[in-house]
Amino acid sequence: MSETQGESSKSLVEQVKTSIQRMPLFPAGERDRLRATVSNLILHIHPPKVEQRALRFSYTFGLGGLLIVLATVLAITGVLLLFIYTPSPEAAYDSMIALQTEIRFGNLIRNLHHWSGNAMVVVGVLHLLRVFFTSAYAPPREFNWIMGVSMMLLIIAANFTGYLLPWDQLAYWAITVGTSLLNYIPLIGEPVTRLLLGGPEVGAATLTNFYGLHIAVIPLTIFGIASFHIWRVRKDTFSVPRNLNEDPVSRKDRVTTIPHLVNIEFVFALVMLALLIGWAVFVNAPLEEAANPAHSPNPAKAAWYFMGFQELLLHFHPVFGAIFIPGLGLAGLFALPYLERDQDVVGIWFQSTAGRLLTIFNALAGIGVTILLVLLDEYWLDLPGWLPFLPSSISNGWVPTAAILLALILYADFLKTLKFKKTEIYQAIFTYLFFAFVTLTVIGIFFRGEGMALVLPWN
Amino acid sequence: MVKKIIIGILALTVITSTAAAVAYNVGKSQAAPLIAEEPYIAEDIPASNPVRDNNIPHEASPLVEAEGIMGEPFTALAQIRGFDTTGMNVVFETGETAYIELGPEEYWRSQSVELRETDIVTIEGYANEEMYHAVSVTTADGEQIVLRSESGQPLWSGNDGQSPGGGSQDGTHTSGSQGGQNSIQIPAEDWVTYTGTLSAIANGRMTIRLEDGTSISFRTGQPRFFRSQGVEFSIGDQVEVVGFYNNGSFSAGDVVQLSTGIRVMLLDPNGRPLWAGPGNSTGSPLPTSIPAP
Repeated sequence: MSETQGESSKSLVEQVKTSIQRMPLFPAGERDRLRATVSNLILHIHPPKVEQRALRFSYTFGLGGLLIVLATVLAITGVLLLFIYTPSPEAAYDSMIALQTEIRFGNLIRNLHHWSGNAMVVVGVLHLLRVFFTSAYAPPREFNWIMGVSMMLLIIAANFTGYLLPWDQLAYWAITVGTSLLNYIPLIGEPVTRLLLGGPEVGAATLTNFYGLHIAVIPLTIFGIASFHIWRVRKDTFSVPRNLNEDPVSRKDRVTTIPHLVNIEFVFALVMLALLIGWAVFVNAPLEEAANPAHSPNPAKAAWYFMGFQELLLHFHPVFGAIFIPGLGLAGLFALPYLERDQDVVGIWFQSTAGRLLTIFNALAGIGVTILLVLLDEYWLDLPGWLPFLPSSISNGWVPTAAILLALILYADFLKTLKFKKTEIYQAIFTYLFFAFVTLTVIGIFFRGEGMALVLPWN
Repeated sequence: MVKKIIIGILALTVITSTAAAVAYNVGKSQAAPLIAEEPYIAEDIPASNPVRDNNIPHEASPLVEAEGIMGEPFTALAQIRGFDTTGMNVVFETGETAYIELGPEEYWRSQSVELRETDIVTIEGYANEEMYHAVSVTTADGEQIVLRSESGQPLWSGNDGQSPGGGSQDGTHTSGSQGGQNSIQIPAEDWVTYTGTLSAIANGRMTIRLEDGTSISFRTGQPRFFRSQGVEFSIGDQVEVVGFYNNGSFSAGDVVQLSTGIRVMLLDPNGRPLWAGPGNSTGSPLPTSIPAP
């Protein structure tokens, strides 16, 4: 009788367990491992088997996985913050103070959320660079590149909308400056800005709008695109690293996803989480005094990831600095995988030996030339003064833009005469422009003082 | 083919603009000898004249006593190169160019002294940073246009600088009418606020396109006034303007650049245009660049 009861009770536990997890958590045989990958909710985003070389850490640096880790941390800490935060100008800042002083682990949760969000921008850019410099955007992965770039923009949008929520001086004025960039979009700039702000300037309606975008619209959109993106990664197969001059790898060295890939991902996620928590424990998210619309800081700077654009505005007419040049760059990013290619270099870092040298050269040139041009424009170049009879949109907009475009085209032609391949030339131009933008961002963040004058940060 | 067309357009832009800039600057630099060749100038500028850092010659003047209140005084000979509605561009004998603030055109044109391009004139005034404000302009014939009182107060602002202005103690704003009339009191309820997009900034005026599609235009002084306040306005900027209507024309008291929140005062409590320079010995003007409320 008791034996029958024991058997019956055991089968019930087993029944419940099986109803949740049909496969063993740690499958032993290869066949079970393959089945576990396919039937598991999370693991099924992976193929059952992967090319062993694709697991090489020095190829991916785990950046895509790290983005998923950061997004998970953001979702969890974001939900926790929702319990405390009130999106109104009267209460938002008090919520921040309460988080820092009254709520158990409130400060840590806010720090984790803040730093994860900022890290996501950096890691997202690094992931994009990794994909670019290994040519992993080439067919058949063109559309996945488009989705990746779109998600990068959404990550920035998520950061930007979240930037306002603390409602401190930093937030208020950064958003005021940031949204003013939108005004320069011809025809639709003003109504779009007004729609986003909920009025002519940053206020209560802006906070509500940004809150809704930050906690619902943007995360859901990212989730939707990311799901598609990851599915396509699986369907298009992982790009596989190759050595220079090596033929595309045949699918012979394949291993099961469990445990080879899953173990790496798990350990990497734990290490990254440990580093993130360690950072969040010791470094507080910035919080200045409560927002005061009557007192603008000098200088009033945009969020750090927009400082490159704000720096551009100091040198170009707004239509070109805020719209034309960034728009051209973005169009180039989207068009990149569809440009004509003259070699299959997927999986080869920087394509070739010449490509590597060219990349290093253009990175240094991007930095050096940008610094030189900023100094020239600051202390000598005065196009509006030299061409006072032209409207500033021409003298300080179209003329310098045309000069830069012409220089880039001639430079590309020059590289062609040196027998560089098309893909190497694309890489060279991209590298140059990327490092130029990073240099502008660094100058904007660290080398601009009162009145946006050039200063040395250590003085 | 398309690439060649694009390269052609870009190259044409760069080459023509470079040529135009070179031609303009060469033209400017060649203007200096024109003055130096004038015997009139050579006789009237003593060799011992002090020379400022920017190489603009000036000599001792009663205005020196007021230095620190109105700016650094100067007297210089210059050739007129052009006019706009608030002043004139000149070339000093050193070849340096400058913009001289004269005040509203209707005021100095009404003094029956004709100023023409290429005329050689003696300018007495004072300099603040890169802004030059004329107290008087004397032609080669000895005719003189007087623009400011000895205390530096613009005569065209309606206040001679000797009497205190109305201020806003009684809850009213005071506005200077441009044209030599007395200060007028503008009740607080008559002040209006407009928000719009900057559609033009030239000749010492701003034009703003309002949300209903209409535009307003008002006097602001030269862009260098804004630069001296640490703010640059660009076409397309969102701005807020507070001002009033006087005889059907709009006068702006202050303008706020909404993207930065920086407010630039255009009129002081006495209604005197601040872009015309400090020049009021009765007290220092309000700070001209303050954050928006």
